[in-house]
Amino acid sequence: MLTMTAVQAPQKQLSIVGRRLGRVDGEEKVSGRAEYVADVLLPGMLWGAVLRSPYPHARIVKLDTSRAGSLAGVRAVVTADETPKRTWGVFVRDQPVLAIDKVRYVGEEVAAVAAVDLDTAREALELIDVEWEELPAVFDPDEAMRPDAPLVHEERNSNVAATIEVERGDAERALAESDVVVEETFQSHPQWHAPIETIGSVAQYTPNGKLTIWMNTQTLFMARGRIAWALGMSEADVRVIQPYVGGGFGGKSCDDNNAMLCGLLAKVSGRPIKLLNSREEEFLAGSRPRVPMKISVKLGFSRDGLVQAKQIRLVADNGAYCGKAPGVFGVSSLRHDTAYRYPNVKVQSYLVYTNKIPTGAFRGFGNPSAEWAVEQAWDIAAEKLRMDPIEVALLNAAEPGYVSPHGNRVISCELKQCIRKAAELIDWKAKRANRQPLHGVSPDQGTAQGEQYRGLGMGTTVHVSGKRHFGDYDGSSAVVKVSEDGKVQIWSGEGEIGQGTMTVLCQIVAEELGVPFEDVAISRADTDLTTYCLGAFGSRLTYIAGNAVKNAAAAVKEQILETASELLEASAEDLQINEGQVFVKGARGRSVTVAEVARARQFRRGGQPIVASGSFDPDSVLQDATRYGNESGAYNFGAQMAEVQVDPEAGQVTILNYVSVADCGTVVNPIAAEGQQEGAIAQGLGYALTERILVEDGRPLNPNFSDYKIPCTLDMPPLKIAFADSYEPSGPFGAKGLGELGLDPTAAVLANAIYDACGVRITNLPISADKIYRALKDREGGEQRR
Amino acid sequence: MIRFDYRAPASLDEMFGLLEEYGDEAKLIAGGTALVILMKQRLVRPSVLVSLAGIEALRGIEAANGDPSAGSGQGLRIGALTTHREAETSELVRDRLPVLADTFRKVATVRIRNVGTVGGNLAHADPAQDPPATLIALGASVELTSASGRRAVPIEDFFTDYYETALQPAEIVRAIRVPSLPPRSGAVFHKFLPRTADDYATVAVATVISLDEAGQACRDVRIGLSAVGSTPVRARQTEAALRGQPLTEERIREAAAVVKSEVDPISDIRGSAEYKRDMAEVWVRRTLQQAVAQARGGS
Repeated sequence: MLTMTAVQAPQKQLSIVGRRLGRVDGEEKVSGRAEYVADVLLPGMLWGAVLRSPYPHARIVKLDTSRAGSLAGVRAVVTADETPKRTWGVFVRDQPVLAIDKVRYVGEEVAAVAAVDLDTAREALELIDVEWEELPAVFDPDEAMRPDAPLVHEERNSNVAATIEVERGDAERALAESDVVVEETFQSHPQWHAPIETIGSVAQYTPNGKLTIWMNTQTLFMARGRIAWALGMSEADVRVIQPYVGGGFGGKSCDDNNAMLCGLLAKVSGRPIKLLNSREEEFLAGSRPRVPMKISVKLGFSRDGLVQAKQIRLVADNGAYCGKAPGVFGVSSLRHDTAYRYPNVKVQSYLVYTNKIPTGAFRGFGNPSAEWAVEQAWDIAAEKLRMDPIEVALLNAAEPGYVSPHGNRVISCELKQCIRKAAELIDWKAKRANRQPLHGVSPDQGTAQGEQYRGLGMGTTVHVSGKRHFGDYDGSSAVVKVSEDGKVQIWSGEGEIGQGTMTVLCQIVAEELGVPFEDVAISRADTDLTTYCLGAFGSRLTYIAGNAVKNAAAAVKEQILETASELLEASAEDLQINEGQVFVKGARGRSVTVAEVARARQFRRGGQPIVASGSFDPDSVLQDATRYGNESGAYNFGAQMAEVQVDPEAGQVTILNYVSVADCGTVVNPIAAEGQQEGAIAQGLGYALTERILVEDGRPLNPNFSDYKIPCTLDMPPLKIAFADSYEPSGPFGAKGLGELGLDPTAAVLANAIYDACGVRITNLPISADKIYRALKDREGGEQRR
Repeated sequence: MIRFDYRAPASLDEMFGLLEEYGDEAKLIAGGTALVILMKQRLVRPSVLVSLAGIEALRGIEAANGDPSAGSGQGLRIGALTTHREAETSELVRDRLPVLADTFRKVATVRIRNVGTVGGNLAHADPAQDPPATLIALGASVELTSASGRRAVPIEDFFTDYYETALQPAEIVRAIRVPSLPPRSGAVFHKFLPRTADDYATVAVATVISLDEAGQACRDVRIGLSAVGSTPVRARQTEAALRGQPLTEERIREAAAVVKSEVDPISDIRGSAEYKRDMAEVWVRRTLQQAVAQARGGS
């Protein structure tokens, strides 16, 4: 077998990239002065409120807004009649702005009101008269796939929204010839993004036909396109401005109707509108929760632990409209095949409409749901192979140069290093050697001996650094200028949602130019003022936007050196920039400041500014109809391990230690990178253990933070975060993506550790204490019967 | 939010006058942590809010020296307007009844504890709240006051149903009276939180036990539970199975099993009724074990 070696980093000394620098937006935010969408106030502004469907599936027989319209203080009431009655959506155009003739989930937008204050707007909602005819609804994707199921979209012949049926190699034969075969079915559940700030917009429509929207979106330009389409406007007439954003996690990538309704109310009323989701609205019809899936995995191995085949059957719950779920379930179906070297894979995946909130993009984008299943199947396989799960993972892990069955081309890859480092940090070998297998020990013995019911679990992941997804472009562009005072300004439309992109881009530009970090500033994102950018998703910004600003800075540097060479009477090749000084190599005395260069270039006959744009589009391809193709320019990897203790009498899990090691290439800012992993693990713990929505007849019963519990600081276990020594040749200074991978394997890691601790495996999320308790009790009963 | 008038009386007399004037239209507000949510959800629509914030008579934590209704000379009297945070951090409470300070510390989050009041918590009568379990176990009583006078109600008789209490119209919670612990006693509160630290309890149990002079048998015991029924529960039959009995592991185990017939939890996001019933038994047993160990000087 060909042995592959790690990609070697060049020996360049970095002075700003890699430093623990504070955030450029930090002071504004911690002092409470940062402006969020709720802070945007315009003269004459009205408040919007939305009437939502109380039914999961119903025909609108009559919709009468006359009483609401005549309430004092109400300035506009809109229904589908005020819209172009066209449906919109990123992959499938199936969602109306306001329900046209029928509703398909509880919470769907039926009408909207603009009034002088929020109380009046809400009061007006109560005066809208709707006559409903309830329709049979379908909530379970398996049931929805049956031929006699009620149709969520009548014009379609089936509730199946999308299908992936792909085989690479001969999985069935490889499974038949495998020495060890494991098979299990897992159920994942929806998860809400639950950022501190809910979705909201402020819209202003001016008589020249221009609609300006301040919205807390992650993807300004794509939002602009969807808003323009949905409202029947030209994109040039829509301007999207991003204020600071209080967390996105995929939920603010504009798959919901908030901005459309805000824009519509502004157009109809002629007044600026503010429309903010309440927390309940956020759960009912705001951010699109993680796509729940039923996943059956079958893995085949040779006796020596080499994987021979993977077969996966996946049924995903789309909810009432597609949004990004067609992309999400594709990632769930295929992505894991880039983490391990699978020779044969078979995929049968179905995305199915139901009468529930549309599901969609959430940090991880299909990976957490898939890895919840697949990484548990690997754990089951390791036990059956009588091998340490770490050994099995190391034996099969992806390496530099690996090409996945679906065409993903791995360049830099330190997955094995991640696994080894994580094992060291949690002291895996010693703990595993000393542990007492507890499977079958009765609960009473467990409590008497506190060290029992402890276990270890691991999981790995692969993620993209941007995915070519929305057409054949996954690039970024930016403009960089140097002002006459030598200060550097970046214009970027990618935006900041709290993840630290502004800081990272400033570091990259400062490094490339050779100016102090403090001399670089970055604009807020605004579709009228910045060049086209796709936005924050797919762990793409450090890698893709980083390369774009780096290229812009390189072009700016050429201009600086050109003018400096005139001033210093030296050839540009002999010049160097360091800490804002341009000097002749080997003669630091012969120097000018960048500010002097900028002034000299500007203030002369025919003077010019120092300004340049830069672009980057990675070397990836748009997947073909069979979903084949190298989806990203670079792949990031990670390994996580947990040590847990289970209280066998109560089912309660205590996480004693948690370790996460990521391969994200060069770490541009360690503070931000550690924070990304910590935050991701918190969300992973919530997904695994605590978050859960109860739905009765299509109605969420707990759309609030009293009952939907996200982990808080007090719930975090002792964490160890580390990074692999890694370098991505196509990345800016060797960097690649990081934002999502930290929660991809977490649920499986905990499930594996819990199994190791107490011998029961929970296959449906969340892994709640009562499920563990019940499983332990059932096993105890089974033993007594034997 | 709905529109309402806001009145801030400076004395109990002035407050009772306002209650008489507005009747059912008025709602009393202390910390507002429960009421404001109900108003935002439009479940409660008072036209007048009468604030208790300015009434000094409702404040303060004091040693209830010599007061016969306090049960002993060392008990505490906690004014209704005391915040959870004040009760949690009070030196007096920590010194005399550490189990009560510990209970208040586990209520919600520090943001809520800074605002929510101990009297408001009782008057709201949410059966999932933590303090009633411990107050039951400690044998506390609630001091009620109205324009016509004061009365004391044992805490376990104060709660009558979901969000219902023994309070009469125009009667308010004035204070809580908590007797001190008897000699050779142990007191333990456990809030079972299998989800997150800021959650409501899945089951909460408080156990206070005192031993005979030999330190072997149970002289007296009181057990309170929250989140297992329409009101906080005093587990009288479980107590009866222990009182006067030698406190062997087996006896404790048998007695703890009795609690399953004394609770009536509902299935919800925090678990099935069956699970909560089983957890009531587990935590009654464990708190008993811990309380006995404490009483014997173990911890």
